[in-house]
Amino acid sequence: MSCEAERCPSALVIGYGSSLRGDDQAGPMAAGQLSRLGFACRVAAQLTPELAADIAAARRVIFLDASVEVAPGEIAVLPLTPQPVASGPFDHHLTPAGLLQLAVDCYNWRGEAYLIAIGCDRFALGENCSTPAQRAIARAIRAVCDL
Amino acid sequence: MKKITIAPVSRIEGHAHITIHLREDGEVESTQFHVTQVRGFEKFVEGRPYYEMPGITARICGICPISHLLASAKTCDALMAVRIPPTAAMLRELIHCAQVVQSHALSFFHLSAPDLLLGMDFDPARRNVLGLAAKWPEQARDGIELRKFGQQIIERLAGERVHPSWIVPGGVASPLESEAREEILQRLPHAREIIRRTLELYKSMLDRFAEEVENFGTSATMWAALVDPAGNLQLYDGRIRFAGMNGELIGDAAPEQYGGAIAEASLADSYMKAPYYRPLGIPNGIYRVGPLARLNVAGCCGTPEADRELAEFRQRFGRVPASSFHYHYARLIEITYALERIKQLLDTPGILDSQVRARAEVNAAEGVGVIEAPRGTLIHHYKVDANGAMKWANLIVATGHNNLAIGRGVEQVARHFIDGNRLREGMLNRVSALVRAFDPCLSCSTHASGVLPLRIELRSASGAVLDELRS
Repeated sequence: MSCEAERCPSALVIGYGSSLRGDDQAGPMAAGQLSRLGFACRVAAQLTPELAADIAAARRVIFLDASVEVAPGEIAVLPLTPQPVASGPFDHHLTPAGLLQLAVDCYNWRGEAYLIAIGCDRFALGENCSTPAQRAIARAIRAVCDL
Repeated sequence: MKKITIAPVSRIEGHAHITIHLREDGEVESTQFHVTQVRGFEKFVEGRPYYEMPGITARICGICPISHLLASAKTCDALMAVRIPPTAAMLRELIHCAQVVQSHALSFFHLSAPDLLLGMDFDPARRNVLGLAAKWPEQARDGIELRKFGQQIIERLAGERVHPSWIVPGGVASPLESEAREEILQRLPHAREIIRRTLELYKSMLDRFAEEVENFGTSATMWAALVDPAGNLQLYDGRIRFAGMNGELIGDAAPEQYGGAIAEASLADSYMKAPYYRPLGIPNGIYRVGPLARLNVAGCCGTPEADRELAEFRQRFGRVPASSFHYHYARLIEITYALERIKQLLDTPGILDSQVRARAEVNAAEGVGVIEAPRGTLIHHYKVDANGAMKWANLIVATGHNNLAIGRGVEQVARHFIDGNRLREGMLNRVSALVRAFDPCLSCSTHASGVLPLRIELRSASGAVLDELRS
C-alpha cells in the first residue's frame, strides 16, 4: 500500500481498544500498521488524560476505535470537536471529544480531529479479529491515508 | 429506618458502594462499605508454572501492574533461592519509583484534585478532570505531565507502559541503556518543579479543609509499612514494621513471617478481605497502610528534599498525623522522595551494568515477596511442587489492609457530615472523598480468604428479611 505519511507530518493517530477482546483491538491493530507506514501513532487500551500532551503537538488527530454502530466490515469517518463531557463517574478514561477538550484547556490546542469508527461485531475474549473487522481495518488505514 | 446508597463510589479504582442507614430523626445509625467485584486469581493460578506468575498477577490491575510484577518476581526469586544482581535490584527500584510517581499523580491530580481545587460541594457533573482543566489548567497540565513522566520511565525501561514483561524471576530482562538514562535525567528537573509547586499550592489551601482534616478517619489505628534496617522509608525491600497509633514500635516481621503478624478476616457484606494485626485481633489490631502509614512508621525518608517536607508536615500536624485526609499530603511528599530516589539510582555506579539476571530452577517449595505498592504493603505468597507448578497462592493487597480502617472512616465522616433531614450532594461526596483519600484499588484487593462471603437476602417492601442464602 502506498501512503504519504509525510503529507501531514504533525498528524497523530491514536488507536485504542483491548487486545484481549476480539474485534476491540481493531483500533490498535490499524494504528500498528499505520506506524509502519510512518505515521506517528499511539496505542492505548483506553483514552487517558496523558494523551492530551501528545495531542498538543499535533495539528491533526485521528482516533481509531472499534464500533458496533457501523456495519461490520465498514467504517465511518466522523469529524470531531472538543466537548467538555466526561465519560462517566470513574474518570479513568475519556471520550475522544473529552480528550480533545483537555488538550484545549491545558495546552491551548487548535487543530482538526476525526474519529474513524471501525465496524465490528465480535468482542468475546480472544486475540483474533474477525474477517469483517480485518476488512474494516484495511479500509480504516486507507481512510487515514486519504484524509 | 431510611437508607442512602452511594453507588458507585466515583473516582476510585474498581467498584464499590456505600450503604448509610439513617434513624427516623435523620441521624446516621450505621454505614457499610461494600466492594462489589470479585476476582479469584489465587484459585485460577493453581497448576501454572511459577515463572508465569509475574505476567499473570500483573493483569490484576491496569493502574499498578508494576507493583504486582515486582512482588511476584521477588516471590519467584525466593522460590529459586537466588540473590539477584545488584544492578537488577536497582533497576527494579527505579521502575518502582516511576510507578509511585505516576500512580500518586493519578490519585492526586485526576481523582482527588477535583474535590480539593473545585470544592467538595462543586457541581458533581463538572467535578472531574475536565472540570479541573477548565478552571485550573496549569494544575491539570502538571498532573498530566507528572504522570506521563512516570509512565515514560516505565516505557523506556520495560518497553510498555502497562503489563510489561521486563521484570522477571531473577532480575530484569535487559540492562538500562545509556541513552535512556540520559533521557530520564533530562526530564527529571521538570517533574521536580511540578511537585514543588504542587506541594506549595496544597499547603496554602489546607486551612480550607480544617473540618475534613478533623473528621476524615481520625480514629485510633495501628500503622504498618516496610522499613529499611535503620527504620527509614523503604519502598522496594525491608521488613514489615507495625507501629501503634502514636508511632510506638509494636513489632517487626520479616516478609516470610508475615503470617505470624497478619491474619485475614472475611466480611459478610464485601468481597474484600479484612487483614488485621494477629496478636491484637479486631478492633485493636486494625491498621492502616499506604503513604501516610509509611511516613508515620518511618524515621525519615532518607532524601534531602522529602525530609524537609516531612519535617514541615510533622511540625504542622504532629509526629504521627492521624487524619486520613493527610494521605494526600503524604502522597505528595512521597512523589518528592521517588523523584529524588530516581536521581540517586541513576547516578549510582553500576546502574548501566549488563549483569541483570540470575538464573536457577526451583530450589524452594515456598516463597514470599513483599513491596510497598503506591497504596501500601503488597504481599505475594506462593507454594509450588517439585516441578515448579503452583499449588497455592495468597495475595494480600494494599487496599485490603485498609479495609477495616476505610469502614471506620466512612462511618465517622457520615456521622459528622450527613444530616438526613437536609441531604445535600456535597455531604455524600465527602463520604466518597474519604474513600478516595485512601486511593483504594479495589480491582486489586478483592481476593478470597477461604470461602467467599456471598450472601443473598430476600427482603419485603417494608425491608424485613424474608429469606437468606449464605455460601
